[in-house]
Amino acid sequence: MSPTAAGLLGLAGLFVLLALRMPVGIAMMLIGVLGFGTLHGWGPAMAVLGSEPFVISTNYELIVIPLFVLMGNFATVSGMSRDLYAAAYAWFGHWRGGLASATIAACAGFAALSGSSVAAAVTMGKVALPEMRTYRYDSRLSTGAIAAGGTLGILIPPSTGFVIYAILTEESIGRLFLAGFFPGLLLTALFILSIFIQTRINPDLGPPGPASTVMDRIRAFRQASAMIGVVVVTIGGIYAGLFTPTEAAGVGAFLAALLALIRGRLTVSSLSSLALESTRTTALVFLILVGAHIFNPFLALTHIPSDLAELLVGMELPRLAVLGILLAAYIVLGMFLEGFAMLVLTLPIVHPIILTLGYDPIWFGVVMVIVLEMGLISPPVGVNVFVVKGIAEDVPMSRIFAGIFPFWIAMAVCLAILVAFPEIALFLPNTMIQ
Amino acid sequence: MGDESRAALPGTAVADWTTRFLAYAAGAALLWLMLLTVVAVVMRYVFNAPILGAQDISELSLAVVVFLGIPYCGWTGGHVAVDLISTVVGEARLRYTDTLMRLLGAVLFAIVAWQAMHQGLDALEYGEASNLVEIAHHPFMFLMSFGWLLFALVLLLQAAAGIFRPPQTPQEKAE
Repeated sequence: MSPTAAGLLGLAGLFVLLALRMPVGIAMMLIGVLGFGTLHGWGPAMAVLGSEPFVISTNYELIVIPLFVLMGNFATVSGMSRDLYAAAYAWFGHWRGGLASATIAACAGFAALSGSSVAAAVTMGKVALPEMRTYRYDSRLSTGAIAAGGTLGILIPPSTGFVIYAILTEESIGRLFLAGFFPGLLLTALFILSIFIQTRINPDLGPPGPASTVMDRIRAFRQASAMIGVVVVTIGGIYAGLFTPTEAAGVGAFLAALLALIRGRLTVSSLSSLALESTRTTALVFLILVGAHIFNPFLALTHIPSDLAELLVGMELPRLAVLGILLAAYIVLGMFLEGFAMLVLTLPIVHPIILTLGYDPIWFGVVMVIVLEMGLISPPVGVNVFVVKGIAEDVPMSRIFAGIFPFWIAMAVCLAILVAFPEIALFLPNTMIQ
Repeated sequence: MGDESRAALPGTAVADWTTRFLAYAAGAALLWLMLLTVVAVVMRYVFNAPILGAQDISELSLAVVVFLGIPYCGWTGGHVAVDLISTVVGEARLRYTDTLMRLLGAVLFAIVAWQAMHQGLDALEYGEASNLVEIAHHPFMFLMSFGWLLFALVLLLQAAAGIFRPPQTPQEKAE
């Protein structure tokens, strides 16, 4: 069989298995080993099955994943999400739509402790939704803000999405983390701006809450400062070249654990459920990574990624047009595929294209994560929407999606700004101390 | 997994208990990994005395977390799948394809476990070990083989369960 034919057959087989709900990692392993065996012989294929998982799960750089997952879970247990919301509330609550803005700001803060958008949406949603109910916020605005705020989790470092991107494209994890920082802040600001505009047009969406006194504000800020300290140490440590991302994650997890301990939140039962949850998340990420590392070499053997890249370049389209096509394709894919799945399935094909076009792969990582986030809150299978639905059971899905739409526009604006000014993403990674 | 119909299947309680127990061990390894990382950083910066081989130890600890965690993740339905078909076909009709997928997975991971065992035996024969401090690789490869085998058994048990009852909704997938 010719490599291209084997590749096309393999891709078709992969889609069939995925459609029949085989977990992504397993499907990639299965097709990868079958394809590799066909093209390269069964002996080497079998050997890869034995050796590759060990290589990946003893990769020092990848220790960053479980440690940041652990940090996020310790942060959740320590009750920092409540502090963050209280602080944001004290500062923004009296604005029109201020509780929704506070939710966004608190989500951004939580995102700096956690690499997962689901965790961000769940923790902040549980805190913020009852508050917004009390002040008679329109359910569209309240649920939309939580779903959108949650997506900041994978853009603002630490981010599991960036780690996976970095590993698959052999980029630096630290640089990708830093690249997400300012775009994360930009998106936060755009979300708040969107709330501002929405409540300007329709003030009933989110009436202002009572104003807090200056003393209240300072007190709330001080309460949340512990969390800010953790962020400064971890992300600042990576930027200053003091820590590798793995070390930063270990130190961050330790500080978050210490905080939970001091606050008396670290019980035997919370610690054991946190350990189970962190293990589970680690396992699911690594199974996908193992799958990708068995599937992608097969795909490379078929030359399909390089052929596609050549084809696209040969068409001599303006590179902005190619980028536009890619992003549009991602937005559509994101409506149906889960984020990690999308990353591992598409990167082997898209990454060579991006390099050939001369785009900075670090910058593209940021852009791609934002597009991925848009998928997380799009119908019909946006994962974050289901999370919000789980917290706000009485709000119909259609209403949640309607509430999300203005935030979705904000993300599109953010993308456009990043395409126009790549420096927003690239400034920090280019000035970091190696 | 307190599901009554599933609890009726033989082996369910054992699988539940075993995977959870191993996941706790994985969690302990993760906490150890955190402490080791912090101590290594402190030793390097504060005492100017880096721990020899901290990186080797960390890497092998990661393998423990991963391979003891994968069966639990599988048992609790945590591995990420793409679910579009259920909205079109309906859950009930998918139990046979789900079962087939799990059987395929079980066969795959039985082979993977066997290959991992081979790796371990080779490593033992050639005395493969980590770079700085000599930690033999083969016990960790045997652990990996054990993790895969258990995952294969989990998939087999879920395949059996799928024949007797409709599958779980895949929205259980964590992220």
